[in-house]
Amino acid sequence: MSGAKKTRIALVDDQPLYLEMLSSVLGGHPNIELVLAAAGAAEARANLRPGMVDVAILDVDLADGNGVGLGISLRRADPNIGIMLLSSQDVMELLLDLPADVRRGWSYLSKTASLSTQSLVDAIEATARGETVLDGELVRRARPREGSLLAQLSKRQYEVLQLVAQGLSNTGVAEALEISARSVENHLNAIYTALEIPEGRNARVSAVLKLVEESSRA
Amino acid sequence: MPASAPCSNWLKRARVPDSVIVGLEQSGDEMRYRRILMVTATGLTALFAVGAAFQSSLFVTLEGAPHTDAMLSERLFANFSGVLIFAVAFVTIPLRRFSTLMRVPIVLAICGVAALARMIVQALLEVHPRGLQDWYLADLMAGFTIGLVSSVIALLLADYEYRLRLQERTTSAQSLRAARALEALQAEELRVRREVAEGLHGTVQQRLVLVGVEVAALRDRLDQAGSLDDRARRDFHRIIESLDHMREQDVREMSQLLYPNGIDLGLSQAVRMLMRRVPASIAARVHISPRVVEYDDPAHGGLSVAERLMIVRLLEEGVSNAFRHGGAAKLQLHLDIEQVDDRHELVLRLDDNGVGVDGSGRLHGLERLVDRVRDRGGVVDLLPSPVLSGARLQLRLPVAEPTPAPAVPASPEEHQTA
Repeated sequence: MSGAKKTRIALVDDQPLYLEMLSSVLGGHPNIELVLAAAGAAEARANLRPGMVDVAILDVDLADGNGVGLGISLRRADPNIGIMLLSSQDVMELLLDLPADVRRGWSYLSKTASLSTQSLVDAIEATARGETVLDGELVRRARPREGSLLAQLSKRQYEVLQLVAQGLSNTGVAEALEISARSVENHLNAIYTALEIPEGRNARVSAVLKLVEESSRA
Repeated sequence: MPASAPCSNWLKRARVPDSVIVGLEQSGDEMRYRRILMVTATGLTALFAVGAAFQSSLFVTLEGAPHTDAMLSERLFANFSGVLIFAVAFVTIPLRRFSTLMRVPIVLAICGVAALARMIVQALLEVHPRGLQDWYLADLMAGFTIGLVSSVIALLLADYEYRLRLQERTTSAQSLRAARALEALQAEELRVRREVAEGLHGTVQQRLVLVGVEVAALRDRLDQAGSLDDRARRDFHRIIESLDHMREQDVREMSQLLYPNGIDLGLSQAVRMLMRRVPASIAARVHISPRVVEYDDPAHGGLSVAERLMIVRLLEEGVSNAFRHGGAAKLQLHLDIEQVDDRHELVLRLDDNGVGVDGSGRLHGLERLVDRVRDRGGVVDLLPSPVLSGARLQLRLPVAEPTPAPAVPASPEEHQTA
């Protein structure tokens, strides 16, 4: 996907103020094309056709249903659509039990997170590429659970995984940790081995989900 | 009445008002009452009818009475004409509705008519030898007595059975009403829980934010006026910190307790969100079978919110008991749907490595939840854990047969991406 191409998005949120805020922030961004802003699941279902958007940004708690159910049905209708869930409560675990046929490319952001417009746009673009982006604040709060595979990671490996979970590319991780991209790659391979994740195109997503599954967040 | 059982179950499922159910079932009882009465009375008199016919024939044959050529069949015919009148009378006359006092003349009349009819038929068929007219009178009396005895027995039996049915019916109507009241109560409880949790999450937290801002402003004003010493500054700092903690932790925890996160989404989500709150120092493993996720997923929930809440609260108590009373440092949670014969059960097993099951059974604080589970046909057990050294809390809850996942549109490109 070329960098010049705009990412087309749909917004679904039943809180008018939040919907309006997001619409104006994202609608004005040069990399984003706002295709639809809907106030509920029914409205979104009625107006979205496969191929219309690259990413659907959905509030988890909708007055007429929930964002997860909506996301599952949107993905089944359009296998290429990325889903980004927003919630005011930490319900990140819902990424773990998604049906197998729709598991790729779901992101989760907290509504209370202090996110800059650019980082939100970055997350949207990563989601459009099929990556899983998690809320930075929640990822930083996560502690590896005693006795889990995650707890076997070294401190550095865990840092790398936390940054990957926030949607950073290898170069991004390298810059943040002031190490080479090559060593980020090495760390990632060691992480996949430690977490018993088979290498492949989904390894990154699987590792991120393992972080959610095997951590404690009080 | 075997046919009535499925019928009444169907009525209960269809949510027909209780009064209609009871009314319908009562009219069924009335029919049943008459049938018992008729069958018993007719059966008994028929027995006598056959017996008496044989006896008379035998008696006459032994006596060798000269003038009798009455056949056994003629006696039987006469006797059964009496029985027929009995049967018709008991089917047509709604005896149950009359008081005991009113029943006396009615029953006497039925017996009288039946006995008289029998005697008239006997006379027409000339079952007794000429000159022995007294025998007809004796038969009249005998027929009347037999009818009376049979009727009394039949009435006692039918009355007894009717009372039994009525009692049963009242009990089941009561339990039906109780079940509905419980359902309504639980729905109300959920509503209040959600509302209070939302209030805590919204109003209370916002107020705490505002108070925090005000306190900080006050501190700054006093500081600028130069009226704060180091101790006061530290106190302000402590107050602001504890306000933050209250808002961030205490309120969130309380709202969580009232209306657990994820409870609107599905059981697996709610269970995971509960388990993630277990401190990281505890080796807690969670295994949730895809069957559970499929049965109760956010797109088409198989469990009600009340059921999820019941299960999550049971698990919550189980986890805190494992720490508080069991001293556990290791937990294993297993959630699955198992098939037992042709029924499906949701099975939750929480194993720990604590002190194990002590003599008291240690179902501390679980009594009300266990009752709720039992109301839904489930069981909760505390057993020695077969996988860890401590105890196992086990819940088995019958669930409807899991419906297969909704048909996935099998487009070729989807399989490539999946």
